[in-house]
Amino acid sequence: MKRLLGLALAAVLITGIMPVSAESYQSYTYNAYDEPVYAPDMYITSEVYNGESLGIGDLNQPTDLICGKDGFLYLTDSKNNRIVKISEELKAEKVFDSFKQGENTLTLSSPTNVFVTGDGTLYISDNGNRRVIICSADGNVIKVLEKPESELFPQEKEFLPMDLVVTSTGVLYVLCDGIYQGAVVFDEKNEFSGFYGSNTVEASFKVIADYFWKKIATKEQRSKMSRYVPVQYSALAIDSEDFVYAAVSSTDDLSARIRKLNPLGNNILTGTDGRTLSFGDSSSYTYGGATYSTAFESVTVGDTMFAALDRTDGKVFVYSQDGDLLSVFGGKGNYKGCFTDAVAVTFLGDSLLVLDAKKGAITRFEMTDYGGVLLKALEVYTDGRYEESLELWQEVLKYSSSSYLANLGYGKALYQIGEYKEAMECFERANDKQRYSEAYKMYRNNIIRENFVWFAAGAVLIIILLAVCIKLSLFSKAFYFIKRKIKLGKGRKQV
Amino acid sequence: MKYSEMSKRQYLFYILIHPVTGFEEMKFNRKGSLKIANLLCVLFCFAVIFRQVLSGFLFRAQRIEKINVIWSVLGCVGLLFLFTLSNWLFCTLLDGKGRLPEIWIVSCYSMLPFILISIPLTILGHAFTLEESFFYTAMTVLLYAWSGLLLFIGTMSVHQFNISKNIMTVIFTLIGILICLFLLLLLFTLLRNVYIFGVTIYNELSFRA
Repeated sequence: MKRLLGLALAAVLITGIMPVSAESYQSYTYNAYDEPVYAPDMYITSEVYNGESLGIGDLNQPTDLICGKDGFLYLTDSKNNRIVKISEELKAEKVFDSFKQGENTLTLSSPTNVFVTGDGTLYISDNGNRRVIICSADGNVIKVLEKPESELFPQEKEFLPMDLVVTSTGVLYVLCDGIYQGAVVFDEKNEFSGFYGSNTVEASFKVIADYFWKKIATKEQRSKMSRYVPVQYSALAIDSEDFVYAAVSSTDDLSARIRKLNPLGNNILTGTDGRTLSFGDSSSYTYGGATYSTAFESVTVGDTMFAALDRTDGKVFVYSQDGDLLSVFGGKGNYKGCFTDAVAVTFLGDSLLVLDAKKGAITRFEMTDYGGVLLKALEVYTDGRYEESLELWQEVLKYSSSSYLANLGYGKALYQIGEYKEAMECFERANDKQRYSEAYKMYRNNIIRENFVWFAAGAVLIIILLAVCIKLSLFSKAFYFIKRKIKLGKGRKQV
Repeated sequence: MKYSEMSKRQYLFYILIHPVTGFEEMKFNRKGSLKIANLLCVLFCFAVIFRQVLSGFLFRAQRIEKINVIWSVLGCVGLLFLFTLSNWLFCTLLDGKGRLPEIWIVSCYSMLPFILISIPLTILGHAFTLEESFFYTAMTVLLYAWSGLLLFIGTMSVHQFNISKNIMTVIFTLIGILICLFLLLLLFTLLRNVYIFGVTIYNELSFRA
């Protein structure tokens, strides 16, 4: 019996320690100390679709997959020069490869991205033809945007549209290759009106050192040195309130890898309570002389969260609205659930789709129960329904007891309903000293209030004791000390 | 009671408040005890570990999971010992009168305020919030300042230096500690390389034999 019990215990321990996952990847997240820790899967792979199963033949280097505002998926099949409209069940609905403009017919050349508004209007960045095509859902061209003839636009540069988004009022933001002033803005009437959300040159040590050398270098030397330009955005996404999410593929500044830009172009995703957010993996690794770090290639926004895709390692990072990391999953490889060259990510209802350019395949991930509970808890908590969120947080903690987010949320909820002792424990696990201190202060006040009689009695007792002690011994002791001091002084003099 | 009549144990606490006369007398009347010094060294280690492990969450410098007791002990004893050694090496060159055991005794005795305050302070730390952290910080500063002052006066007395010369030797001592650490690092790295070299030779020979 004992042996059996031992065996059972061992089994529980082993399965408890070894993260059980049927997936080809191991989901993880960052704990309160910024260390990567294994976490329950928030998404699991459900199915992989290729061109064949979509019903449109093989894909050739697709570059983008988005969920349009009209509820359909749009796939940019770049080297096949077409845009494919896909239904929710992942069956091709319509292929856009030629567009009618009066009597002319326009075709695409290496399109890179597409954006679709609620009424089904397509905005296609026709990169090879250096233009943006705006067309209706039935393929009739509404307008073609080419290089703006404005002095603001650097005329020596080509117009190479990459990613684009459209606000609910019809303002178009286009990311262009080689344009460092920010996204190119076309207003409601599709007229060029300036730039949006420009990035700045990062002040790294090398930039400063080079600045010094450039000051003393000759003209020829200067021309050989590298130029520093602001970091370019790699992808754009827009949420229902017209906030633009911009991803950066190469930067050392962890907090700037993803930005949420307000209509003025300022980043508002900067973290609350003085906490700085960081996106992507915090450490890079070196292999074969090259350094690899997170490079966000695509970003997508859902109702309560956003996700970004790391092209380096083929990993998907899912964040809450406030920029807290929920889960990281995926990876490089040929297994189902891993990618060889992941280029685009998009939410589709509760599931998440990732496009692999090399495999020419779309992988569908379904949210797990854990993911559902986590999201629900976040949503309820953000609404301010603390008591309701308690149970949900508890549920999340059952899955992942060391989760930073869950401990913080649970602690905050406990604090709100006055359970300070438990709140303290949660804040300790979440390593939040400020909140712990606040909870402790309340807890201490409560203890003092409840046991006030004892504290008062103790204080009085101590005062009486002190008084008695002083009365009895201080005078004689002080006298003794003074006497000894005098003797000591004399003694020294004699030596 | 005269200081000459005090037992060695009583003397320990006398030094705490009267470091100048205390250390002078210790030098000339042999009031220091190696046994007590070694005991203090052990207690010092204990106090440091106590502080690391049992501090309240708000005042914990290190996560409990990251604490390695062996390194803590090595750090405490090693630092005291390195200080003693380095101080002795430099001061002997600069006409210091102190002998090695004397410096060791002085170094260990100087840790007494740390031992006496840090343990109650660690316990008291559990009662403070961040808003009251000033008191905790102030006490911590006092702790280090007191021990540091004792150490300074102690080395001064033991070598019979004046203040300016002692400041100089303390600086030299600190540099000496750094040099010692560097040499130790070098030694271990080289030994490791020699070891790997030996193992490689053995492996190659064993395959060819």
